[in-house]
Amino acid sequence: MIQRDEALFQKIIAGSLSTQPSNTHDLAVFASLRFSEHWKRVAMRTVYVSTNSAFVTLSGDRATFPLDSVAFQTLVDATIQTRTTVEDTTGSTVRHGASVAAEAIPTSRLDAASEHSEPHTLSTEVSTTHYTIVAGGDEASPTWRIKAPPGSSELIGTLVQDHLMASAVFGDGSTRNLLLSARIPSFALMLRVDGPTRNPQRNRLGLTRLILKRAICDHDFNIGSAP
Amino acid sequence: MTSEAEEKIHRLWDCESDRFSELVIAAHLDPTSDFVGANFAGMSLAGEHLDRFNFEGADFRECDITGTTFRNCTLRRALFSTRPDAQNSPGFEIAEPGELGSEISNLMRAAEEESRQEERTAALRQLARHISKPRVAEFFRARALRDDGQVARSFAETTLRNVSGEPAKVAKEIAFGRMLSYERRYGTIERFIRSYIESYGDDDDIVDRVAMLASGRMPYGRFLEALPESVVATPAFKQVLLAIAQGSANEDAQTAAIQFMAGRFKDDPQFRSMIVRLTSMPTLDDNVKRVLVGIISYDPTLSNELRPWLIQTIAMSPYIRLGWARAQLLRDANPKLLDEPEILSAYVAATSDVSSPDTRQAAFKTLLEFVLPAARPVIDVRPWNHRIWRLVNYGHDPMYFLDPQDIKVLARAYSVSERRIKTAFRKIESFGVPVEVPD
Repeated sequence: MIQRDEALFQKIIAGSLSTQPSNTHDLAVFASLRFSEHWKRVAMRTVYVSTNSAFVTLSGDRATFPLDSVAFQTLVDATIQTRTTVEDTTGSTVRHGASVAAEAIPTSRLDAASEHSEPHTLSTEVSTTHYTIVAGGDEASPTWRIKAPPGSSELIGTLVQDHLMASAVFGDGSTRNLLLSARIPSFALMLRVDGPTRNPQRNRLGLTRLILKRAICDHDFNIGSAP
Repeated sequence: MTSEAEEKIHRLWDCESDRFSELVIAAHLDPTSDFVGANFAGMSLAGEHLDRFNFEGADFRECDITGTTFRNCTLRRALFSTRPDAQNSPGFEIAEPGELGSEISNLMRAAEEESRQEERTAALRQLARHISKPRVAEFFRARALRDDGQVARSFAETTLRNVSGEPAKVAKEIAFGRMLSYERRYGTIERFIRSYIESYGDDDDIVDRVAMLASGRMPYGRFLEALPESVVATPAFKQVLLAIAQGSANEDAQTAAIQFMAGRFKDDPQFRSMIVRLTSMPTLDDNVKRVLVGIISYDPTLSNELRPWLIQTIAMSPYIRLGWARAQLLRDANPKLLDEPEILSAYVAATSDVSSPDTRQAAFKTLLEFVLPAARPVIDVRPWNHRIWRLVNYGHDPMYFLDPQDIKVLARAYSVSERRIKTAFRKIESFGVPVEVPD
């Protein structure tokens, strides 16, 4: 039976956890997260494995993490911004900007409405703000979803470096141990194989994917602990 | 170092053949456990003779299974786009083996046939007898939640009158699920109550009350209070209340549902998470706000544990946009509540809420008025908003510095001596708020 494979997982997601005393809560918790593409030479080919999404969870022994201290809070997942450019008869341009949260929120704001006269041409650009890291979960185990930005197929690089992730409050009798775990959802696994195509290899590819999913996907792996 | 999975992948790619069965052997995969729930999209099992594989829940829909035999394989809940050749696969198992399975499938097909109304109703009646089967329950559940069709209604009428025990429980759940979809679509409590009546049938009492509710002669709160225990105790009813309490086009219904839940389900985790969600909504309605403040300040039945929790939830609500609502709630709440240590610590925590200056100010102001019991501001404390304290990043936590001018302004505002203001701030500092008071 294919066993979960912590060594392989840590070649794709590595992390660390550290703490500092806090004025308002018991401890301030800092984390680093590093994502890599792992590759392996097999039979004149190279198999590359990475992920385009992951969930990272912080937990602790009898610990809670007040929600307002959790980093990467955002009200909605994406913000849509529109910018309308109006060119008047004198050739100068006047811009109207507006940013509207993706959810219909009545308090959406409308900035910088300026005067203009005799519009000549009008164009609208729409851009979205993508949040690579978004907080979720609850006070007992805040979770961050990390997702590759549009245009990038996989998560690569140090996305978080010694960042204050949350403040911890410990209950009576707590050992004050904190744990940072990560999970790759099976749909997020990225697999590609380079090299000569000697024979049809679709079953090999399918089984490689299956082995990797069983070994590293949908399991929680410990990537850091403190103290 | 090579991990176990990498070792298997190595063996897989070292194999000369791309045939599935040979690859399984080469990579030392276990046919009895490694393929449960596997997705075979893009693979080819054509012409393979598979024996004793466990393919439970596997997905073969985009896999070539032309001429594949599944001898002694478990195919329970497996998905196929074409049925495997039964002649070549003796012994395979599917979810509903035998004649009953095909009878249920036929009934389901007939129940979906829009054009033949009578056959459809008859099929539904027969199908309802098999409600204890997960597949049939799922069929009804899915259709009950789907838009308007008559399926759920016919089902509810037929089943609820004819069955009891576990199947009736499923039926009630489905009926409630349907109410939820009514509530979401039309935003009126009447629709779901009517639907409830249609499902629950003959209780004259309830019918009378609904008539009064619909004609406006009975407030929602009283209507909910008067519901019989047999209705209130069902888990599905709680879900309906939660849905209304979280957001409804009808504000009366929403506030009535919150009040009802605060009385009846106050210690329920779902109620609590509903309150957390509610306090996280940027468009918190004034009525709802009043209800929350009312519950916190005046409800004598509120447990000593829930009251501080509610205040804490509101004080700690993480969204910036909520600043105004939270500040309002903190201001409106009676400062005497701070006698309770839990509430005091919630206010102390709120003074370091970096996301909302409004909240910090409201919490700080309430703390000051708590430690200056007789004092009420005699002039507008406008400077609170501008200069009384400066927030600096001290490490990662806020810190308040007061200068002599601030003390003067506050003493004048509250008509007390500067010494009293300083003493009050030292008291606040003793609660754990990081304040620096000049000598």
